Parts: sequence; structure tokens; C-alpha cells
Amino acid sequence: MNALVKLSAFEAALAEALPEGDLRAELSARGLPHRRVEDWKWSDLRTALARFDPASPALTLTASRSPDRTAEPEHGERLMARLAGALGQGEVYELAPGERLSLDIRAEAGAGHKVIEVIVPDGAEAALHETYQAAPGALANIALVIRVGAGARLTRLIEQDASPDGVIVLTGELELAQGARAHQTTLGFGARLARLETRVRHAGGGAHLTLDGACHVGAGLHLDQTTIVRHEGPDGITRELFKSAAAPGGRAVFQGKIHVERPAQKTDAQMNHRALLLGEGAEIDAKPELEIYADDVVCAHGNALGALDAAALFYMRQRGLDDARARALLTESFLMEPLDAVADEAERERLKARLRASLGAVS
Amino acid sequence: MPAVKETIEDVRRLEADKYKYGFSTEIEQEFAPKGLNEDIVRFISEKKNEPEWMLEWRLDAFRRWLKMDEPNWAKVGYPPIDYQDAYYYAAPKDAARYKSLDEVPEEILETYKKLGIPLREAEVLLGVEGAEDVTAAEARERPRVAVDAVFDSVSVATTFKAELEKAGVIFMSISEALHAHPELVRQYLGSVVPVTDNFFATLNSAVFSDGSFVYVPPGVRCPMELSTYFRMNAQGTGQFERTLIIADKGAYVSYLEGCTAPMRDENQLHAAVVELVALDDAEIKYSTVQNWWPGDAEGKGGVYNFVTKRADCRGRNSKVSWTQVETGSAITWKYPSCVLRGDNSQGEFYSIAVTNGRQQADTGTKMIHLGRNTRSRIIAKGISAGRSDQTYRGLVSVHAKAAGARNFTQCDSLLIGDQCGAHTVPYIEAKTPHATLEHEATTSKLSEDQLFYARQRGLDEETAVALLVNGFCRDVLQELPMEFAVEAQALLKVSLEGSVG
Amino acid sequence: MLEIKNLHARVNPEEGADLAILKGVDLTVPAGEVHAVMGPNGCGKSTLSYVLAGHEGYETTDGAIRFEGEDIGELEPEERAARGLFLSFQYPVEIPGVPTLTFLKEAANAQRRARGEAEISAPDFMKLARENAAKLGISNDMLKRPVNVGFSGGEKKRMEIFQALMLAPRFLILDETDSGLDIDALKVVAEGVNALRNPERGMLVITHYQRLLDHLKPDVVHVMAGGRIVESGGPELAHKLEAEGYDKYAGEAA
Ligand SMILES: Nc1ncnc2c1ncn2[C@@H]1O[C@H](COP(=O)(O)OP(=O)(O)O)[C@@H](O)[C@H]1O
Ligand SMILES: [Mg+2]
Repeated sequence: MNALVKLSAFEAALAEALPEGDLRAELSARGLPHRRVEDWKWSDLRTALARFDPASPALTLTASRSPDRTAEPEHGERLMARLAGALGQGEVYELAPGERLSLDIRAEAGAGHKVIEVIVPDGAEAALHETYQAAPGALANIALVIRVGAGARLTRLIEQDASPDGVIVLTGELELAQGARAHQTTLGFGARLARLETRVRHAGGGAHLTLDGACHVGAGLHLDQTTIVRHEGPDGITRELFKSAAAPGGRAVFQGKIHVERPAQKTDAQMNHRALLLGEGAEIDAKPELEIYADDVVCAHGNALGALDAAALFYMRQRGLDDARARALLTESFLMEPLDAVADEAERERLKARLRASLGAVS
Repeated sequence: MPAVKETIEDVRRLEADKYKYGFSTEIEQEFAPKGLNEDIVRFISEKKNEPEWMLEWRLDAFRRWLKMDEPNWAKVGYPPIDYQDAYYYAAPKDAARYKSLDEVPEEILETYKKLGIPLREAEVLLGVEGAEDVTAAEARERPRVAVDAVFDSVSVATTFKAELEKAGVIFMSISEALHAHPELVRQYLGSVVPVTDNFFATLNSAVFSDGSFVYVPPGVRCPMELSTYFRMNAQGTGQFERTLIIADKGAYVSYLEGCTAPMRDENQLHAAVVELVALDDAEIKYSTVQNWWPGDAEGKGGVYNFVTKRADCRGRNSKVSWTQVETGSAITWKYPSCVLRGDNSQGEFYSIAVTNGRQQADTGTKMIHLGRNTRSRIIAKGISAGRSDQTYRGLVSVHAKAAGARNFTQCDSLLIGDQCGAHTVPYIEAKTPHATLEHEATTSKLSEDQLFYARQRGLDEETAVALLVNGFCRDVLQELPMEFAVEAQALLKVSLEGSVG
Repeated sequence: MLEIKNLHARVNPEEGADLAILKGVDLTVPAGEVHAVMGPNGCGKSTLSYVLAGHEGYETTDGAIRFEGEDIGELEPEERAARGLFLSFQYPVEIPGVPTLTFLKEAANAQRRARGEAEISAPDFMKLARENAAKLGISNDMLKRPVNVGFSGGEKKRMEIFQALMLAPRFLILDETDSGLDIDALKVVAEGVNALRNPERGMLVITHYQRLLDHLKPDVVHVMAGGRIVESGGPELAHKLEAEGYDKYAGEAA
């Protein structure tokens, strides 16, 4: 077992707020995740929150409608999700076919926690649109449990607004039943620390999952996109495309894991991460992982980190674009790719405009 | 389908008798008392008649080791190791007194001969007994290989020393080097793998027994391949080899390492440390064929191989290339690494790992880019069969000052059968925009179509599998020195063979 | 119009080996003329075109490049482009994600701004694009694709000439624009280039083959070998080279 750690004032206050029990004991013994915890190697939550004050939390959730019920929050296995469950309220939304639910979450002060469960009934088609933001000194710790029923379809869009000096931890758990389809797109801009974690279970066979993400992490900001996809049933398909760009002083993290269990024969999983370092002091960290126990599978991952293609830059300058403009155009076209797959045209153009604005603000 | 299915069945039936190095040698040996404490450390040091500073170094390491925890991050599982239930020193009686090959007991010479490693130079020139189809004329054509033979805890013989000396190359056991070249050993020992680097390296620093020492002076191209052959023989004994290779400015050396052990029912611990230092414009090529006893099909016995290998590309334009063929050991925990410190230095890692039966391997590399325009290349091919588990674990880290750094990584895994596992865990970190890092990984099974095609052309199924596996590994096999490549291909076939043939 | 004097250049040491490639190139192309440069593989033709266009991978170690009387040796690539220097690349670069017309319009307007000219309006630009595409047999669908992505070698060359027509440069460098083209495509491209010929415009045509020169009818033919211009002559020189090869210049590589 890990040795006892000295808790920060933030951790101590958090532990204080918890009822007696395992979770409290665990938090008191180990503190929050930090860089020596394998999954949090590049996202030191403990340090990021050390000087925060969890008292008098203000977390607002603006939803397109009221929840179907409040509920005893579901406790996931992850520490942050369990904390969200223990300290926050639970809400359940059962989506009607064709429904488009939007959830806008803003942490204004203190440490805010929430657990949300979203159910897409068998055969239904629905969309979920989430927006996250944290004010300076505020933590938003949100756990989402999303169940996509047999043959159902979900389009999920996550927008994470730039939140300098705020901290955002989002733990999303998706469960895909037999033949379900889910397409998730993330557009993120970073925070003092932002962790957008997506855990997906191909619980039934034959599900089709697409995880796309584009992020532009500004100076002094951090964004961690972590995905863990577990194929439990056969014939599942997973496609991941993540593109990140880190401005000078910005840090983008990608951790992706594809886990194929023995019964998940004929799994076809591909994960791609490409990242650009836009200047001195930028940092990119990546850990694309495969854990495979079934033999009749096709699994692959690719990861490429670097700067803009020098040959393309020269070509563009030969045609008369100046260096800055050529870079901006190339960066933009690089990052846009995951957004191209957003089916709704108006939505797609709005997201692209956001990304373009963010890039323009930097150059 | 049937072809693959049969192959899988065959592979499952893998039996211990495929391991042809499983014999043990009957010879009188002397041991340190069982267990590990400061007195044992002193005992080892005294046996080797070491200078005082060396003993202090060992004791310091031992005291630090006592405070360390065994690492548990690798994807391998084994019952707790009782470090007190092993011998830390075993040597053929009187080994310390062998002055020349003539004094080495016949049993030991025979052992090496049986392993295909003749120690008498005349025999080396004539070729190896057992390599039947090699004519004397062909044998003379073959490149010569100088051998340092390490038997349990001591080096029993080193061949071609005189000829190497003429070229200025120092090649001897590290115990001997401590006396002959103390200044070199003291300068470089622990300079690449610090005493406290990790649990197993620290343990090795305290109790290391023997291994090879190589120094190639400035501008010298070593006139022949150097190699060390490690043999674990004594029962219940750990082997803690320590190898140190220094290529001075503009020097070149190619070094081969081979290892085998008898079949034993209990697990044996092998915790080695290998340090390489390449100065300006120097190049070291380090090849390993690791074939320690893997344990039987049910996972009984086998060597626990916990190895720390690291190269320091200290000089400008220096280059180190690691090539490994890993077929043995019950557990492999091994990450040959390069610290690319010098500007324009290069690191390479080529690996084939085969696991079968109940073997577990967690192996890969680290490429640490510190200098400008440093380059690294990683090609790792993993083949999992039986009920084995294999993990590629690697780190590519580019520091802020390493402008112009480049890495290319390709990791491919092949699964044979549905009871094994293949995993890839790369860590990639970049802190400068002037770097390019590419990583690709795939996992798949043997292609039915290719297998059918090969069989349609008349190959039997086992040969067809071997052929395809060889093709899968080609990028790595071609990096091996000629001599080794042939052996490695044969080994691949044997490692994957069922009881057919 | 373009004067190259004693030009020496090497591969920038940052990029790799320290390698001298151009070893004293002398070449003058007056306005209105078309000059051809021929020479064996690896003699430095593409390097010359890159150095003229200001590629950072090469370092000029001696000599000068003057364009319309101005020393342009220190200018950025886009500044040279704005002055009217257009390079048709031997290997046009693919730029995924950037649509061809978006790119060209940006480029045209950046050049115009740099020259203090009014920008071209979107409708005018589109009209021009359609006209020029028609001349070169380029389909609407090809124009919609990202720059050079998914084109065959020959199609890429055609797109390079299309870009030249769109940007109307003062001076063209064509680096093996004919390679990879079939006979019909070669004719189309040559017609495109010929349409650009006028008394104010100069051209430097790098090629291995007589075929393109038959269409373009150069005023002067230069032979390059070992990083220098080793012989110059009239169009008949090209025929001689076609017949005899470059053997007699083999010793020139110094
Ligand atoms: N970036 C570079 N790095 C190393 N060598 C180069 C580079 N660019 C050009 N060269 C070498 O310079 C010589 C001239 O190349 P190039 O100008 O492309 O020849 P050409 O176009 O006449 O065939 C060739 O030998 C080529 O290999
Ligand atoms: Mg060329």
C-alpha cells in the first residue's frame, strides 16, 4: 500500500466533508491523484488544487430541461467519480427519441461536484451537448454515466472553455449495449488543469464507437484527454482521432488505451493522436496503449508529435503567404480534421469558428 | 482456419524437451553461505580480492537496497521473491586460480562446447562441433569471435586476449579489470546506471559477481566481434553479472551476449547491469540472444530476468545500437536504453521477443534525447503464443534543448492462439517544437491467406509459420551480426515449435 | 531581369551534412526570354531553384542574386514571391486540409497587399479560376480538393501551372514541370506556359527532355554540371545533348 501522505489544506477539507468510510480513509491516506500515480503522470491534480479552497462551492448547471429525477448518485470505480458521487447531487435524464439535451456547467467558486446519468433508450437516437468552464480558484468535478441502449445512437459533443486558473475534472463513463453507436467530439482549450476522461465499455457486441477530439491549449494552460475503451463483446469497432496543438507554455496530454478482452474477437480498433508544438516551451505528452487478449483482431495506434511540416510552410511562402499566416493556415487545417466529422453543419461551423478564433488570438 | 488452428494446438503442446540447453554440468563448486547480508557482500568482494573502495561501493549499495521497494509497475506477476533463500556466489572450485585455458576443467570446456561455444582458439578456427554442415574451409572464412565465458559467478576463460591486446583493445572479466585497470573501472562503473537507479540495479551493485569489461581506445576499430557467454549452472543460485563497455573517441566495437541455464524446478534470479559508454564519434553495437530456461509449459521453474541495460551516448556523433532476441526466461523485465547526450548522437533498439508457455515479458527501451539533432529508432516485434503475456513498454523523451531530435518507433505484435496477451505501452514526451516523433503500433494474428499461400506452394505448416514469423521479424533479424542471425532464426522456430518434427 | 553571379550554396548544416552543391553559378535571363537549364541528375538544378526562391535549408556562401536590379539574396520566400518570382516545384507539396482555392486566394491577396495593390474580390477570383482551369482542363472537383492532395504526379504539375496562371508572376522557374506528363498533358501545360510568355516576363525552364523545349522554343540553353553552368548555346545545344548525353561533362564535377 502507498505510504501515508501529508494532505494539503484542500485535501484535508475535502476529506473532512466526506462521511466516515472507505472513500474518506482512502483520500486521507493517499490524497488526490498526483504525478506518481500512473494514470495521472502528466496531470498533477494534487499540486494544481493545493492552494484552492473547497469551501462555499458555487456550481451552476444550466440544462435544456429539468432532470427526470434526482437520484442517489452512482459510484464509479474512479476516485474522482466517487468523490463527485459522495459530495455532489445526482440527476438522471432519460432521453426521448430525437431529443437533444444540453448541459452547461460552470464552477464559479470552491469545489463543485456533480453526478449525471444519461440514458438513451434502446433504438433511440439522441444528442448530448455539454459545456464546461471553471472560474479562477474553482473546481468542477463532474461524473457522467451514459448508457446507450441496444441499437441506440448517441451524438455527444463536449466543449471545454479555456479556464485559466480553474480546474476541471470530467469523468465520463459510456456503456454501449449490443449494436449501439456513439460518436463523441471534444473541443477543448485547457485550464490550469483540465482532465477530460472518457471510459467506454463495449458491453454488448457489434457496437460502433467514434471518439474525436481537437484541442488548442493556450499559454500556461493544460489539457489532458484520457480515453479508455474496453471491448468486452465481439465485433466491436472503435475509431479515435485526436489532434492537439500546444502554444508556447501550454501542455497537451493524450492517454488512450484500447483493451480487448478474450471474448471480443473480430474487434477492429484504431486510435490516432497527432500533436503540434507551436513554439518554445510547449509540451506534449502521449501514451497510446493497447492491451490485447483476443487474437483475431485488428488493432493499431499511431502517434505523431512535431512541428508544422517545413516543406508545406516553404511551399506556401513561395506562393506569397507570410510565415505567420502560413503557420496559422496549416495549424487550422491540422486541427480541423476531427471536427469535419461533426454531422450537423451549423454545429460544425460554429465549432470551427471557435477554434479559428482561439488560434487567431494566439498568433 | 485449420492450419492456424493446428499450429496453435502444436504450440500449446510445447514441451520442455525443446529446450536443448537444459542439461547441467556435474562439477564441484563452492558457494557463499545462503542468504544476503553485509557479510555475504564482504565474502564476494574478498573472493575477488577487491580493493577497499570497491567493497565500500558494494556496501553502500547494499545499505541503500535494504531501504528500497521492489518495483511493481511492470505487467508481470510472480510470487514474492525470498531474497534470503538463494546463493549469491557460486563458482567452480579453484576458479580464481585459472591462469590459462589449460587449467580450466574439462567438464566446463565440454559444457561450452555443447552450447556451441568452443573456448579453445584452435577449435574456434575449425568451427564448432555440432555445426555439422560447416566445412573447415568455411569455418576459416567466418569472422572470428572472442569469448568471455562466465560460469555462474566467475569468468572462467577469455579467448583471443593477446591478439586483442595488440590492437589496444582491453577485453577481460570485470573482476580481472578491477586489478589490471582500476582507474578505468573506477571512472566508468556506475556512471551510466547509478547505484540507486532501481531496486534490481542496486542489488546488482551490492553483489555483482562477474561479467565483461571492454575498453576500445581512440580511433580503434575492434578487429573481431567480442562476446560473453553467460551460463547459470549451480542450483538455487542467482547470477548478477556486470558488464561495462567503453568505446573511446572514434572507436567501434560489436559485442554479442548469449545466455542459457539448466532446467530447474525452482526459479532462478538473474539481475544484471550493463553499462555502455560511447565517446565522440564512437559506435557500439550490442546484440543479445537471451535464451534462459523459460520454465516448463505449466510455468514451473524458469529464470527471473531483471536486467538494467543502458548506454550513455556521451560524445558528439556517437552511436549505440541494441539488438535483442528474447526467447527465454520465465519473466523478463528489461529495457535497454540510450541517453543521447552528445549532439548528433544516435540510439537504436531492435527487438524480437517470443513468449510461449507461461512466459511473461515486459520489455522495451528508453530513448532520452538531450543533445541537439539526436536521432533514435525503435523497431520491436513481439510474438505471443501459448498462455504467455507480453508487453512492449517504451519511453521516448525529448528535452527542451534537444532541437532537431527525431524518433521513429514501430511496435508490432503477433498473437498465436487465443490464450495469450500482447500489450503496448509507449510513453512519449516532447518539450521542444523542433522535434519529430512518430510512433506506430499494430496487433494482429498470423494471416490465414499467407499461411494458405505458403502451404499451397508446398511448405508444411510448421515451416510456413516459421517463414511468416521470420518475415514478421525481418526488420530486426537483418540488424543482427551474421553469426547470430542464423542462430536467432533457428531459435525462433524452436521457440514456437510444437511437438511436430 | 534575373542575374545570378558566382552563386555558391550548400546544404544548411542544421539540416544535415555540410555539403556544397552550387559551386559558382553564373546565369542571366533578360526580360522576355526563356532560358533552359539541362543537366544530369544531382548536378544541382533543384537546389538552384530552391536557392532562388529563398529556401532556408540552403545557405548561400558566396555570390549574388539580382532580380530586376535588386539584390534579393536576403529576402524571405514570400517577399520574393511578391516581387513576382514563381517556382513550379519538381515535387509539389501536399497540404492536407487546405482547399486549393482558399490557399490561392490568400496567396494572391497577400502578394497584392505586399505590392500595394488592391485585393482581388471573391467573384473576380472565382471567375479567373474558372477560366484558367478551363484552359488547362482542370475539373471543378480538382479545384475543390486540398492543395495537391490526391493528385497524380502529372496532375500536380498541371495544378502548378494553374497556380502560375492565377498568380501571374513576373518570372517563372519551372523545375522539371514536364516529368510525369503524358504527351497530351505536356501539350496542355506547354500551351499554358506559352500563354504566359510576354516581353516583360522571364522564364527559367529546368528539364531533361527535348520534348518540352520543342513546344517552348527557348532563347538560350544552358548545361549545368557539378554545380556550375558549363556551357551555353542556342536551341541546337538541346538537340545535341539529347543525342550525346552528358558524358562529356562528367569531369566537371569538382
Ligand atoms: N537537403 C539535402 N541534404 C543532403 N543532400 C542534398 C540536399 N539537397 C540536395 N542534396 C544533394 O545535392 C545534389 C544536388 O541535388 P539537386 O539540386 O536536387 O539535383 P538535380 O535537381 O539537379 O537533380 C544531390 O547530390 C543531392 O543529393
Ligand atoms: Mg531536381
